[in-house]
Amino acid sequence: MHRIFVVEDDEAINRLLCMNLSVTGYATEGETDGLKAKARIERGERYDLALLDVMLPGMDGFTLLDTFRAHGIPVIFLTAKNELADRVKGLRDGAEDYIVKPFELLELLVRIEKVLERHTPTQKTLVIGDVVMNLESRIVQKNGETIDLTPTQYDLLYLLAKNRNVAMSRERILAAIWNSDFMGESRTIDNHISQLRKRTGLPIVSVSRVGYRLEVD
Amino acid sequence: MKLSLKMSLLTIGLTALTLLLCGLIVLRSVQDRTVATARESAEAQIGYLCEAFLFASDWDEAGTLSERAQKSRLQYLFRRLDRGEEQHELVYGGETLCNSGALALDRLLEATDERLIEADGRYGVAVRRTLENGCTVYLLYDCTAGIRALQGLKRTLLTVGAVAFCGLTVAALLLTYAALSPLKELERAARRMAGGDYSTPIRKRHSDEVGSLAESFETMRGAVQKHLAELSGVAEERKLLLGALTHEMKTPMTAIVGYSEALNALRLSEEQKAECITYLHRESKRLEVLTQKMMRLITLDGGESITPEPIYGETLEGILEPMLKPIAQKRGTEVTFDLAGFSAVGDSNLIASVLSNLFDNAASAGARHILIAGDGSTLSVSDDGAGMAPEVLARVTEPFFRADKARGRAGGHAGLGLALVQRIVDLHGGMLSFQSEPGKGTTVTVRLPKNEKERRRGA
Repeated sequence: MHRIFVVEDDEAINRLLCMNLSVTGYATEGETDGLKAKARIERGERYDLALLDVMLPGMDGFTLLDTFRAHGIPVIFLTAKNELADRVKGLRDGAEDYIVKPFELLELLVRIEKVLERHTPTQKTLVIGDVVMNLESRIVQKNGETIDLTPTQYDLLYLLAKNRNVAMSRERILAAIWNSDFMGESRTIDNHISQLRKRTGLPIVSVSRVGYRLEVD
Repeated sequence: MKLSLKMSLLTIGLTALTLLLCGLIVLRSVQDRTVATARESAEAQIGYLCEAFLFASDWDEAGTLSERAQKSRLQYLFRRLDRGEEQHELVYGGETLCNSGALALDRLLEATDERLIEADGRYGVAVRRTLENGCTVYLLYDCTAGIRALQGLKRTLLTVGAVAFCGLTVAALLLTYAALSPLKELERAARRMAGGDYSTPIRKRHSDEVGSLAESFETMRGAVQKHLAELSGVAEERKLLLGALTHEMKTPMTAIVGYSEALNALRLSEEQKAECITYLHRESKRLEVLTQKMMRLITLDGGESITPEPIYGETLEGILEPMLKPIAQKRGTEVTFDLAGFSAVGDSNLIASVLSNLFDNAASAGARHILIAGDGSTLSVSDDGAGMAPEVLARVTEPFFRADKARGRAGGHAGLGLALVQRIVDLHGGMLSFQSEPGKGTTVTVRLPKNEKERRRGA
């Protein structure tokens, strides 16, 4: 499980990020003060990724970046400032990415995933309960037995598994799997989902007015 | 065509025309006089000549002479009279019997009525008289000298006129240019203003009409510049305020959007759901406080005037005590009122909100004891809280300025309280001052006008 350090001075937003990330399968720690965050890293706390606010009491995000880089922790900047100058500065100084508040959870998740993919050895398998997805051979097994899935169903399962515990809207699923130029009925998705449920036995619940969510404890 | 050129040309044209007309009239009358004088002389001369001729030729037996002899006799008599000064001519029976000059005067006078005759550079006036003996006498009176003098006069006039005309042209051009150049300067100034440059002053260089025009221009420029500065100042202030407001709203908005999205899309435990709702409420409250204060600030900013009424310490205490005591209790602070000696003029609700804002700040600074006092027309709020450093003190009334960012926001403070206080005090024509020392506490003093007269003067 990847560990993410959330450094954001606003308590509400800090808690929100921690909650979101822990629900989607990350271990999180929060910190609201720049200097304290620096001390924690220097004490030896290890993380796979840090989300860093630019405007922080104690020490600002740009200054903190050096400490994080020295300890090999990739950084995504969070800030309400959306001026281009800041963005350029952040990226030139060696941040991995930059996200402007207010942001969408799914967008943040995609960016986190991309950064983690670059910095940690690529995962070969994805485990969801008793189902194991082999990401190289695209073979899905349940209790050691191979489940027969069409390529579309495999992609759909992968999307839901990556965003576990997050409800995915039909539009988003269409966009991710059919590249949105597929103008077919969203009933097609319902058919694939019910096939996936039947074949994998995974708890894919439909969330009213939103979409589908793969629930994993 | 430029005005200066137009004016010069008009002046020059008119003057030249006048000169020309005067010259012509003078020349004409001189010439007429000369000719008339010459004519009179010619008439007198021919009179004497004819008389003498008639007297000489008055002979009874003239009719007895042959035609030829008669002619010879007349010719002889006429020649005797010739004194060689003027040209005379005698015509008898259609034949020129005698002519002392080269010109055929009879033919000249027949061909033209003009009496002034020019030949070989000489001028003369010819006259004719027909006598009863059948002779016609012609006389040419020389007036060359008079005409020459006239021509000389003409030349002099032309030369003087031409020189005067040239001089006049130059003078007119120079004068109109000089008279109109201040207008050019004004035109350049107007052009500058049209281009947006209101800062270059226009100097008054003349004390004439153009000078007073320049003065009016300068007055206008000053007024426009002042208004513009005021307008852009207000716009700039509004823009900053709006920018700060948007910035302040972004964080609670992010939280609200985020938590509602989490509730909507995430699989959350019951505790997590409860946490979401708590934060949603808190952040919405934060926005509410922010917008309320902002509204208040904008309404006060809009030049809304207050309704002045006498305010007494008791009134303020009556409003504030029930409001502040419970808050003080919750925060573990003690609040004391000493407002008995206070009276001023203003809006009691606004002044109460000044005091409650100052109380809020004092409580946030960690004060154990807060004193709200009033004496005469001066109010003060003193605390024994954290106090402020001078550099903080200098900025406390700026909208959205917070001495302690993290604590201020968590406590639901938008950083607008003192900005609001400052506005209200300004509206009352009062004065706001701070005395503060880090670690010892802060005293905020509000001086208000005593009565309506003072308020008017202050505001």
